Amino acid sequence: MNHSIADMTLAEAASAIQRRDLGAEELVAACFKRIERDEPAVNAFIWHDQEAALAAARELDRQSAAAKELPPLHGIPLAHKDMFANRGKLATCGSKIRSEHRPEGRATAVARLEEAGAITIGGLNMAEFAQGPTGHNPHFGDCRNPWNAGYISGGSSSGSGAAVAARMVFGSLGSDTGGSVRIPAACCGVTGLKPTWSRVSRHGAMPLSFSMDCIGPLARTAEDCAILLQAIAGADAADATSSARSVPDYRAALNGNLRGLRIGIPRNGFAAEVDDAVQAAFEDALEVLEGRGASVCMIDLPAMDTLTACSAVVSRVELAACHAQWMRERADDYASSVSGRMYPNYAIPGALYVEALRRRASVLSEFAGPVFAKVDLLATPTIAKMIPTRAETDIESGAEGVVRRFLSPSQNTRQFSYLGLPAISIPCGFDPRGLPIGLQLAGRPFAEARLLRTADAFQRDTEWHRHAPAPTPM
Amino acid sequence: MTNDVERDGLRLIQEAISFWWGIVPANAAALSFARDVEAIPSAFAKLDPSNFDDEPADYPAALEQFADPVDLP
Repeated sequence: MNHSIADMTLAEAASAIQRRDLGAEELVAACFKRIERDEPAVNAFIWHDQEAALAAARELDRQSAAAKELPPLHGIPLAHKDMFANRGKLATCGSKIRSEHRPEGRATAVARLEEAGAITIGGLNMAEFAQGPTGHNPHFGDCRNPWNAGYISGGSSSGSGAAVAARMVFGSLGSDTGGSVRIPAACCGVTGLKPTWSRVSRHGAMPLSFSMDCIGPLARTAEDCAILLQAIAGADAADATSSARSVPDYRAALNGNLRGLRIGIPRNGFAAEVDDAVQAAFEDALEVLEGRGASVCMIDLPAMDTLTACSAVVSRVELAACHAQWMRERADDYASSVSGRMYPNYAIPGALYVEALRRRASVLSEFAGPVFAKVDLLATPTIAKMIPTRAETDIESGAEGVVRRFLSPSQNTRQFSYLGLPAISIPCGFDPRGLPIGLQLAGRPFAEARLLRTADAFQRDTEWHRHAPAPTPM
Repeated sequence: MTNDVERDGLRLIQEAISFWWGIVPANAAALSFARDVEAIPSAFAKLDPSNFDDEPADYPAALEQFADPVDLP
């Protein structure tokens, strides 16, 4: 295994910076060396700026020479899904419509990372306007899976998953409305956390479905995600929906102890058909967690019909509302798969949308009360099927059954989005073709610390998160 | 017969979108996704009518009600 600087975890790199064993310039240079090697095959970036990143790194190195204490992310190179405002830098949202969009101001989550010392080195590929779980993008080119370029990277935070997996950056922000952090994390073999709705400010981030959008980190390990979440979580005056609840010390929660933890495996409400390789990896993962002291049981989930019906309406209608003006005036500037996906949503009755929102608190109560009385976390495969190829999920092909295959990766993720619950995907194996498999864990509201503790305990006993893809052939 | 029903359903959706929103273009992908939308009203018709509040529900308060403790043991 290659142990270059770029192969370090974010926690290791941050620690090396704090000890002054490494400088920010070395980290940035290592990332761009990896970008130069793998980006032509992976296409994880929409833009990057090496000169600006190196200049920022040199400035941080100058500061660290004089400073006694450094902020936690000092000199750490990151890049984010290309949908965050950042003081005049491009934020294309993966679209032709916003291909020259350079919003002023700065998204709160990005600002908090940069104030903690991180260097933003570029904007990452994504599904157009975050619509789609595969990583297809006809405007900037598909983001390809770094483990095998013929397969999907997952989406919609496709570049985030691929860039972290290919060791081009140490971590990334994505957004998750129905699985868009967890799916690329699973496809690319990295760790991705969708926080509780309201835990992280959405100010300055592209909206898709304001009732369900969450900003979350993707990184190599649960510990790395804990460090990133620590920086971005918490109330924000610029986002009235952000929670005022105290932010725990996430890293302090990582003690490896799962004694007494109860994990439920849903009998209903999730994909009924699971591929053999995925099921085997899932069962092995549960055994690892049991080895750390967790107990596992099967559980029936209440309210799943209501949840499924309401979830479908909320995201579709809010998406349609966000794009109404462009759909009237610039429909041809969308990929046909994206405008086609939005188009029928305009026929959904407003009364059903309001009903879906009015039911949300009751459904959460009906679900969370009995479920979290019996278990602390739920576990499922993040994606029930082995990762499909880009060709067989390309809607533009118009092939028979392609819509079903295209939507299939989100079968096990969207349930937690309507409920607003936190969920994490961690690598738990590889299928016979050498592509990653993800384990999804979900918890009660604001259970990020418990999820990170569980994921970290799993990663103390496994090596899946340490595997890196070989240089990707074109 | 099924095809006629599907075509009628899709045509009604297209007319409704055109009437209410002034959005005319539809493409092959739209027709595929429209089948999912057609299923939405019947899914709602099966839901328990008593299962939501008379007042607009306070969803953030429900999140707080079931929240994990800030400090884990």
